[in-house]
Amino acid sequence: MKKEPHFGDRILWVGDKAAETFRKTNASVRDQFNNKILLYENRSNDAPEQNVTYLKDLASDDNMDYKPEKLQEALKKVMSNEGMNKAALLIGSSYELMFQQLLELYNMDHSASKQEEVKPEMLFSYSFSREMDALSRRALNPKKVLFLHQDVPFRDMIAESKETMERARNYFLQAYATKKSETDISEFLFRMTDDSQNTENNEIEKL
Amino acid sequence: MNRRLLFEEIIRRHEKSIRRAIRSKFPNAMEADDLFQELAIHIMQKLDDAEDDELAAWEADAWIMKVTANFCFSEFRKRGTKKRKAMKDLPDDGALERGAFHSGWGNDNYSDPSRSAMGVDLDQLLLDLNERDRRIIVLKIFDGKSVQEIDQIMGITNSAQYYKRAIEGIRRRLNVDLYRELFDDFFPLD
Repeated sequence: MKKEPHFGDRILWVGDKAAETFRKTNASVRDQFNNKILLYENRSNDAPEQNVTYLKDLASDDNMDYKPEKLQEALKKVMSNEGMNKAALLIGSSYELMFQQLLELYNMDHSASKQEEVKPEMLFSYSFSREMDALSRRALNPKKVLFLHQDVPFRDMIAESKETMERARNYFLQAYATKKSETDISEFLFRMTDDSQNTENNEIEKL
Repeated sequence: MNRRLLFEEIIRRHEKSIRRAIRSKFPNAMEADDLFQELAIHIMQKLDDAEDDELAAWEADAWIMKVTANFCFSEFRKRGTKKRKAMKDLPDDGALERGAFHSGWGNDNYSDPSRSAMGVDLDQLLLDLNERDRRIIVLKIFDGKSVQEIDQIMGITNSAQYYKRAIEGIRRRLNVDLYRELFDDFFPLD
């Protein structure tokens, strides 16, 4: 019998690599979850898929730059409007700038929580976050993150990708990474449905 | 490795600077837009063909600006050849600019544009320079390095002066106005 998705089972797939992985993941496993996909823009002429949100469509500027500050601005909006901050698992590849900036938002939120200072402008939703204390805000962050490995040849992109993973490890309860570019994550997700503590396998390591 | 995804990411990150670089050489907006599309395909092919080791030595933005500069230079030569061929038959340069040249003059097959008269002349003139000056020009024009970076790489403090002197020297030897015009577009004095 198919398990009904519920609040805690939401997965947020961020970026091109994550979307590609989503399509390759066993449908019967991934459908156990409430999947949301976040992409930068719709490059095809196809009608947008139901569970896909395009960041550019929600940006205030039609010619939005693919730059850290602009991405963060748009991501803040998406995360508060679309209820995406309620995901239990975040999936993406650390070489993609959009995923890096999303993690950076979590980092800001996490830092704000640690210092127990309320900085509403840093949070995803002003009206919502204002009512939350530092502890419960932290609880909103996904508990888990899965980094999708992607071989990138350029040295600056390799460095920023590693740095992103290093930093992000600190503000998730559990961080995982695929070891290869073409890893099938179906088994990993399947174990999550059982609330298994042992989600590692030969192709996915715990960081 | 999925180079298509990498291509998408790189293009997104650098689209504006690539477009700016093209527009600085080809001011016509429509032409620049077409060239951007062609260049995007060219970049995808270069990424597909390149070995990991080859790219590992580069930072992404430096690599992409080098590919862009080389592409612009190659297109520049093609257009120079077309323009000269066209001018042989049409003495009114202005009419040519407005009409035939920019609307895709002629359907000739230029089998090897790099062997154009402009290309051969420039190649030879660059080769006539001493090694230091040639290296400075290559670093500045083809690798997109700043004066400070060139000074650092070459271990000198006055590369800007050497560059200017070398460019002026080449320019003096271009005895056809049209060549000078094309040359000035591609090799700025500062």
